[in-house]
Amino acid sequence: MSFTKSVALVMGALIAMMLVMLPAQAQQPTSVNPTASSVQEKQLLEALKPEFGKTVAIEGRGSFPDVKSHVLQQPAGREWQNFRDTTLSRVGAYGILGILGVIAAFYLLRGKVRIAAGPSGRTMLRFGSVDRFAHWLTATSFIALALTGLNITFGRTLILPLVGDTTFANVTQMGKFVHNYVSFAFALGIVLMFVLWAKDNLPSLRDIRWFAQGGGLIGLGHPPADRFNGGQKLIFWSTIIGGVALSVSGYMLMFPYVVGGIGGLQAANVVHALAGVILVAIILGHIYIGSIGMEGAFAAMGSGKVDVNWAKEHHSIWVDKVMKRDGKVTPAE
Amino acid sequence: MIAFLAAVLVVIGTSVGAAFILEGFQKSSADKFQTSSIRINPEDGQPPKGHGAHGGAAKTVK
Repeated sequence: MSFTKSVALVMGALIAMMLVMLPAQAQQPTSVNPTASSVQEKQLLEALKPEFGKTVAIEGRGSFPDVKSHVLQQPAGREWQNFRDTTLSRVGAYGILGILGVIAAFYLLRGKVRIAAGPSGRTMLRFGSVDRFAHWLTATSFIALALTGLNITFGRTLILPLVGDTTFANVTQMGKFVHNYVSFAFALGIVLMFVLWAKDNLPSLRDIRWFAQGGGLIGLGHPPADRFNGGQKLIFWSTIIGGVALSVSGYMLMFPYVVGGIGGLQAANVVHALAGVILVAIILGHIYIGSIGMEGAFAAMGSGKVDVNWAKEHHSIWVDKVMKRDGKVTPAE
Repeated sequence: MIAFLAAVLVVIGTSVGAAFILEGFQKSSADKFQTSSIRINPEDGQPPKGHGAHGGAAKTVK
């Protein structure tokens, strides 16, 4: 065989081999093959990074009818766990301690906000029994939900070392049941408050002026306000929006997999925890100003009747409307 | 005061009512899961025969 013939034979054999191998090459998947021996662990971890809006997981086949049990690895779960164990605790602690610090500083600097003209001895109806019922329905259920919810986030760090394993486990289990069952009263309260007060809480230009003047809490004088001032509107819409977010995310967690999969549950947990911590911080400010922070404020939700001078200072436009409508106020008892 | 007491009563009432309904819901879900996971043989899709086939002790499927 001549040299030229030998080269032609080898080339022909090579071309034949390439033609055979090409289809096999084309069938190779572009993604990482986890069973290939040459695959590095780093490549696998890269391939398992969660993508936005898509839950990446290693799934197999199983004999259980519940297909959710076929998921072996769900890397997004680690990010969620990291958020729950570290980020949430820090954000929650800083938020709640921060607002308590602001309240304490405000009390020390400003003191109790007194009725400038002093109590008049005459009262006027501010909230009827239905209004007060809606407020206390939401308030009492929120306090129960906040305490049991904070225990889930901070209890292991703050309460467990004080009471021991057994007591903490029993208290937390009871708290979990209370948290689930009381939520229905809270959701009802949110709906009632919205129906009763949304109309009077619509934002107006007057609210901007109210905030610009510090709402009468900072500086001298009280800016005019209708039935609800800018600060009360802020509390109202925070409660409504936060309450809806808490209720929807909470029921997603209470009835898992009814809406969305594991990614939806993790998102619901994040929304629930953040909305809860933010609302607790806001309501702490509301409780302060509605009780020891301001003279005459608690009566609005206590007896429902407020001192006329208090009403004139904080809700002058509303007082004018009531006086025009009723023409009188009730003498103090 | 009456509005406050009424609110507390409603909180307790709705919570107790929710407890009864939700416990019943969870029990029925658990029963359904047990029925489908224990009583169906994954190999042939048929309920296992013999002991445990009628809601008794779980039968191990090899």
